[in-house]
Amino acid sequence: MTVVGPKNRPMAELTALKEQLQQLEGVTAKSVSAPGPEAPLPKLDLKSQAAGQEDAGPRIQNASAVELEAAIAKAKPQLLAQLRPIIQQLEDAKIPADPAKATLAELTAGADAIYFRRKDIDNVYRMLRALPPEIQKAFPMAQLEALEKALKTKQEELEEVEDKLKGSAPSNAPAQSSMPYNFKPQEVKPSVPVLLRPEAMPTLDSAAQKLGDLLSDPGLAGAVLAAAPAGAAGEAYLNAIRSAAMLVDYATGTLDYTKVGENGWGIKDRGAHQARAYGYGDKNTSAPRQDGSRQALHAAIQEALGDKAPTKALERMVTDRFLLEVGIPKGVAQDWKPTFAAVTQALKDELFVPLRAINECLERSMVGYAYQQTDRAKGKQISADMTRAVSEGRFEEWRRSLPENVVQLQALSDPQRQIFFDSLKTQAEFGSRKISTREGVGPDLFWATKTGGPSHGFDVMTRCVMALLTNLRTKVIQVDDASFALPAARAYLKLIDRPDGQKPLLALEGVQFDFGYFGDKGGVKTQIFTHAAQKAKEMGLELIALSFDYHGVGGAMGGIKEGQRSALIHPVVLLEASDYMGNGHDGPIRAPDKTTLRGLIYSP
Amino acid sequence: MGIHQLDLHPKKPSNRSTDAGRAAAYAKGQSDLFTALALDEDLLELIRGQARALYQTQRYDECKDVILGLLTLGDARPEYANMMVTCAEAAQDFMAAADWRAAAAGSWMTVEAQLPLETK
Repeated sequence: MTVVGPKNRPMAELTALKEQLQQLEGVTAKSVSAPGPEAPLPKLDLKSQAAGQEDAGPRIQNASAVELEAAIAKAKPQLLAQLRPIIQQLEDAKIPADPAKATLAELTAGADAIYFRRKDIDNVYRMLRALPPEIQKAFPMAQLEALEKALKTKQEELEEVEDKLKGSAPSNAPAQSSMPYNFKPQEVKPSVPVLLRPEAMPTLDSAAQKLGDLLSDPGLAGAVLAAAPAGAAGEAYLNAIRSAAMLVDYATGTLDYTKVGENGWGIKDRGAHQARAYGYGDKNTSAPRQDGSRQALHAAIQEALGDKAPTKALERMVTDRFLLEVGIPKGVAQDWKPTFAAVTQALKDELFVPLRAINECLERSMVGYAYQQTDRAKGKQISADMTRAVSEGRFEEWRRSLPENVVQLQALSDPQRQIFFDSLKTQAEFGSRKISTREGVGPDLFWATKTGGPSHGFDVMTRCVMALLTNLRTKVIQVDDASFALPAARAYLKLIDRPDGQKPLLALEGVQFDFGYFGDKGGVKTQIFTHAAQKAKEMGLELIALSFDYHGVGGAMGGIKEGQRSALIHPVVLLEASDYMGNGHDGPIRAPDKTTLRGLIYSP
Repeated sequence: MGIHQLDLHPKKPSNRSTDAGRAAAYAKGQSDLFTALALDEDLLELIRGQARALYQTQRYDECKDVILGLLTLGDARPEYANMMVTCAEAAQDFMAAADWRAAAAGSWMTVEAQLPLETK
């Protein structure tokens, strides 16, 4: 930066700097989300940034830009030590020069150091994407690739020695990083899923074998085959064994959320959960519960196999044990009517982990000045009700029956309500990328917020995901990119009522991208906006895009202008999680409240 | 091509050239990323300029990526923390914004400690 100025600045210039600072401070999330044409741009120069530091003393305030530059150059190592840890911890570990002579601990530390170096390279790739082609051309791309290759080779070298030291042969499984992290932007693949799917058990033999393996009982497979009924009943028996195996797999592989709590900051997306890429500490903490579940399920399965009607006994066992395993204490579910079909569907939909996390974390998550004891009690009741609804196969029906939700959608006519409930699907091509959108329904909602963030999810700020799961006015638009295995992004779409009998409107919130997605982010934003606009058009309502993400994306559509709309926010089932609806709407809303929404308005 | 033309069009440094020695040293943890990439201050200044341009045009998502890249390359400046505060707030990531705000205050104090005492 070449900012040159006199040592003692005249008063007029200082006044101008102060004004710049005030403008800069005015750039908050809310003003950024909807700047008017005359909205001031944030000013950036070294002096105005320095002048804004309340903690900085008179020396900073009075120093010239040249002096500041010199001081910054001098303080560079300390500045790096202050700022780098925010994005990534500094690597202290040494990479062993000769892995053959290293100890296991040194190898592990070396692997960690390589992991951080690969993450560094990933940061540089991300930076390059935001730079113009001229700078990209000047950047030593080939050397960057060479560094990446060298790190990969070194990592493989370390892993090979590590395998030998551990006394196990190198695995033939597809190469998988020990860290749940994707390095190469364009070739991002989620971690290899390890959770058991029904497709992995096509026959009774394979299902029996899996069950025996999971319970570490080689003799169990024989018992399963021996108890199999003949004829048409065999199919139902196979389904029961499959479900039992899936339940055992989840119960012995899922974290104990009563112990680890909301740990999802490190487990960022669904792929990481599917790969069970949990930290060693969390795994160790959860091991006693997993062992307990393994023993209890082993005994229960053996008992069911010895029953006169083993299929029915297995189905009962799966249904009962499922509720216990997802955190519903004995006795609570006495009056419930869970069905085997619904529980099996929940296992297939991967709802075991979200349900356990919500049941075991929600109450502890509702802390802070906004929440009262009654809110926590209500939260506990609602999470139990929700688990009941899932286990009885009526989750959507339960959501729609909640009294608060009836009020939230009262302004819609029946046809509008039906369109609102329907999952709209859109598709478009952006260059070589096929981007499609859909709306999360039923089980999708549990996993929707594990895309991007981690603003919130069932294991991160658990209370906030309840806003999506319980409030019927909130829908989530999920984006798929054909070249990316997981949902690439998501955005909330809310139905907002308006005061004085005015027509309600749809409010579109900002985009959250999956951490591993480096595709066409502009295309994704455009498609989300297009989706929301189409939904608004079909419902005959206005759309207001509340985030700055959508500025400029709907240019070809027409009928879009900046503006504001009054809104009537109805009370929520449990709480609301939105930074876009004005102050006081990110938590429990106990009474109807009027507010003003600002953003881009699309009037069909 | 004649030699005179070569003179008129001197070969530009290629971004396709590699240095295996530097790469190996980096993989062994013996050098930092800036050294391993053999970057120069002029290129960094270009990237810094781009970060500022992205910031001033309110393209905070991309601005954030550039600043994180600069920090990764070992280029630490106190105003980066201020810029990251705005970027994080624009992304509704208020926890990160709080972290960066604290880091900004600390960074400026570090810079202040390097200023001569007689500065007025």
